[in-house]
Amino acid sequence: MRFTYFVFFFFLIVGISYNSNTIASPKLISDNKVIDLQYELIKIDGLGNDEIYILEDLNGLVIINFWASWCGPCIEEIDELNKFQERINKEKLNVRIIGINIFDDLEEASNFKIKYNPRFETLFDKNKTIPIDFGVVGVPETYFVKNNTVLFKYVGKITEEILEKGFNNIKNE
Amino acid sequence: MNNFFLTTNIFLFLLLISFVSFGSNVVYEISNELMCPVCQGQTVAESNSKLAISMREVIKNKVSHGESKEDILKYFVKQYGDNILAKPPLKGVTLLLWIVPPFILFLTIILWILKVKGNEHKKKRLNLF
Repeated sequence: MRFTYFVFFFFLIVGISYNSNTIASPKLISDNKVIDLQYELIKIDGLGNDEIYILEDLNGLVIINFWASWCGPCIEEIDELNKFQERINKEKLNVRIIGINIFDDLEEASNFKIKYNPRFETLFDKNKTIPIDFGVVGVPETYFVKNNTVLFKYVGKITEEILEKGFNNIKNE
Repeated sequence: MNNFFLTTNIFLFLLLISFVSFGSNVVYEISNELMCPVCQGQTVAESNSKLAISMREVIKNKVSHGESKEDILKYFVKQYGDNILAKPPLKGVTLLLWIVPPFILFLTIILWILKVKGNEHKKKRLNLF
């Protein structure tokens, strides 16, 4: 009987510890994915003058934020991204932020741009293929890229603090 | 002459249809071997989530560019890991999932047999006295 209890509690503890490892708190996740494809996207200007934009290289330091108009945390993180964009402009930091709208439609993305006013470049995923090349599962997700290689990613609503940390990490890599 | 053109047109039409249906069959086959990462037990072929739609679009593009099924599956494994496969390879935790249940069943049967035999011994001893 004691042995049965031992086996039961052993598997219970193993199961709980495995789950607590998989449901980890949000953090920057190391990645090493080379992005070497050309993407045909649409530049959203919110005025209806949307034009084709070819994203062909991600040289230098780039922060890519994937978002959708129907996603609550994406609305909440706009202020944080805007604050960091202001810092980039003010301190002339050598990094650019690109927001890519995925799993959405262009009209909704344009309305979002007008309503929430992201101050960084916003693009629309026309061909619905770019999230798969990055390994995106949901929105929002943010990728820290250096010279066409994704070095870190962050899943969930991002903050200015994490943007700063991610930027410093890719700068020093 | 008219017959020749008609036959050629029919032939080309049938060829086109066979190419299209071959392509869509391959897309279905591959997407049925991939699990949708945001769904509960659905393959990419079965799911209508936005991620699954994007994944099917990527498969379609890759098939039309002549990439083989193995290469496409490898690409998805590289992006999302082994868990993306409907039949993941037997290694690591997956291997444990296959080994542990039969092992527990085997262990339970052995323990049960030992317990029954122990009880029989006890009964025999009691009968002796």
